[in-house]
Amino acid sequence: MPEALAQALINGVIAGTILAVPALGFTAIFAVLNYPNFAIGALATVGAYAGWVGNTALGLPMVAALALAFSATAVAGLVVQWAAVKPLESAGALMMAIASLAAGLVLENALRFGFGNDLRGYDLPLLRDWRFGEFRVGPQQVQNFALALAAMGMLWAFLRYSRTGRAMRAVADNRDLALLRGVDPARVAAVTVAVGAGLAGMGGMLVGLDTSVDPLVGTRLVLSIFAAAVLGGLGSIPGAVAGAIAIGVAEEVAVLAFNPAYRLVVGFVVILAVLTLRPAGLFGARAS
Amino acid sequence: MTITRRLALGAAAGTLALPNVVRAQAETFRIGALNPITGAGSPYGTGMQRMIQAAVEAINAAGGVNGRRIEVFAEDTQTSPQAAVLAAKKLIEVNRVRAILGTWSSGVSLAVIPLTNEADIILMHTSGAPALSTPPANARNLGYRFQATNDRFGRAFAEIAVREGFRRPATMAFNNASGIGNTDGFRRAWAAKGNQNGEHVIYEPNQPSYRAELLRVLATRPDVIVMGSFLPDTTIILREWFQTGTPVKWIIPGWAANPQLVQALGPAVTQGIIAVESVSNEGAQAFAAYDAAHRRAMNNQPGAANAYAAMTWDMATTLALAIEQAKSFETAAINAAIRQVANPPGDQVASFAEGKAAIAAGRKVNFEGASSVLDFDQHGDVTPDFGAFFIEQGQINRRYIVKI
Repeated sequence: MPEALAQALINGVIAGTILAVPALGFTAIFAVLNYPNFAIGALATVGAYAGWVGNTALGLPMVAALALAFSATAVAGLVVQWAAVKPLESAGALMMAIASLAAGLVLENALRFGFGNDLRGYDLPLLRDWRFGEFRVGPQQVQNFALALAAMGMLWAFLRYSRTGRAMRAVADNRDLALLRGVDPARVAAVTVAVGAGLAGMGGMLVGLDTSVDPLVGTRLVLSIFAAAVLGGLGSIPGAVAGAIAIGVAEEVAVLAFNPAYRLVVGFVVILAVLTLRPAGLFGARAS
Repeated sequence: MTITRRLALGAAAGTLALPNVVRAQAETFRIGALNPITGAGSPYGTGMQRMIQAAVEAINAAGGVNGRRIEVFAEDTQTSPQAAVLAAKKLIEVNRVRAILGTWSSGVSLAVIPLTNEADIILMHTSGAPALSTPPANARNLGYRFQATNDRFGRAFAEIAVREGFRRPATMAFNNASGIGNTDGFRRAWAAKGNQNGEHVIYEPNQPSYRAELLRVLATRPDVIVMGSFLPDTTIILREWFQTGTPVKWIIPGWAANPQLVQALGPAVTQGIIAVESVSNEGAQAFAAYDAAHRRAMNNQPGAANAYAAMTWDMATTLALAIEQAKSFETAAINAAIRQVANPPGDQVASFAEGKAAIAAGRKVNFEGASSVLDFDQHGDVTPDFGAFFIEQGQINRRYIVKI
């Protein structure tokens, strides 16, 4: 049992780190634009398909395919923002959330229409796991883990050092003050949506690499992404990472303790518990 | 010339003035072909729909049923219960069909059967869930299953596991009526043979990874894993299993271990998988007629490639023979006649034309179908034979037939 627990922890940390990439996108959009973008699942699917096209049809290596997934999803995210969400901005966050949900359904079914329902696999050799005594870890898992860490590192550097990144943080911190200092809100919003959606697309591709690509690949993640963001504190960047890793581990460990059929409950229980006990989440500052 | 309302009314009134014979010829017996043209069932759906149409053409060419032509209205279930319910409502309420033929996948059939019961019409389906045999789903005994139940699939899995010399089977089931029906059927049959059952995991659909569930099963060191599963989840589970490098064999239902699976995973991962699928009644005369029709309609593909298309071919023929036998278009009379024309005793017949002639001559008939001998039990279920298919170098080869 201790070995099984350790193995579940390893798998959970890897799964959580990959989950952190779209969770960061989700929470960044929430921080700057103040609404939960539920198109995030469908955007992750867009990224998975874009990466798949880049990898199989264009023969791109993984990193280039990942860049393509980021760019294609950034564009798709902007289209969702302009076509569906922005027209309802004045109606409040709830209407924007509903608009994003609807846009997500449209995106998902557009992909279904274009690519069909079949499962697609990346053009990668299936490799056996590396074994360390009782433990095992897949080379693909390790590669995805590294790519996810790299993506998060780049996001951190972007937010910390670039002018646009600083502007994004300023708007998230105090919108009015940022406007007074001459930050262009429309530009910051557009960059945030593009980066947030792009991260979702990268996350979708990373999950697709490990499993396979189909029109539901991103939708399957939505509950976990949302739970991770709520747990970490909506709008908190470090919170999204910590929340995602916690959710990843909890989902894996839960299977050891309970019937796997109840694995889905983890996300719901976490959301319920956080909203009841600490609505601000682990790292959330605003609500506290 | 433009069609005005007055002209249309006039024309309609005019048809009323025509002799009865002309109107009778125009009146048809309407049936719905409700098949999985898109979605997970799409490899089978088009063939299923075309074989209903082909069988109906043969029936109409033989003079139709009780003097009426059969007319087919086709809809797509999208292999989705929600879409299937909308399509069934349209068939029942708009097209006024008197029977629905060819639903695939238990989720779809379980969603459609309350509507057909409510409308007092017959549903002929190809789904495996045991719940479709009994009330509430089959409370009115208007449901007929042309496929084996999942329970019978499970029994076939157990026969194959014994024959292949497995000792420590574990089971993994997709959490729905069909998946659990398969593994429960296996576990019951395996225990009945005096064996010990191994680890049993029921997993949720739509997960990005099944690593945790898989490791839980592999930790018990089974020599074979018996699945009640579908294509998307099977693909992910087998990929993750291959990565672990653990030696174990697999017994998987044929709708999940099919050419699409081999295409997605490649020959190395799928090597040695045993796929179990019900097989058509291939020696039968009805099968030869079906096979010829399938080749004509499906670009020369052999009929054996789609066991579900043979079932829908038989559905149309069975229904037509029952109408002929009942000498009525009323559901109750037709329903009472289905076992009369399909079950023994009686003259074995292989086609509608042959059966119609025998019924006209006052003889009792026993239709032997293309999909199975088609003898319905008290629940409206049949018992087809099963094929054990082995995947070898990316080819799915049939090794032997299992009868239960």
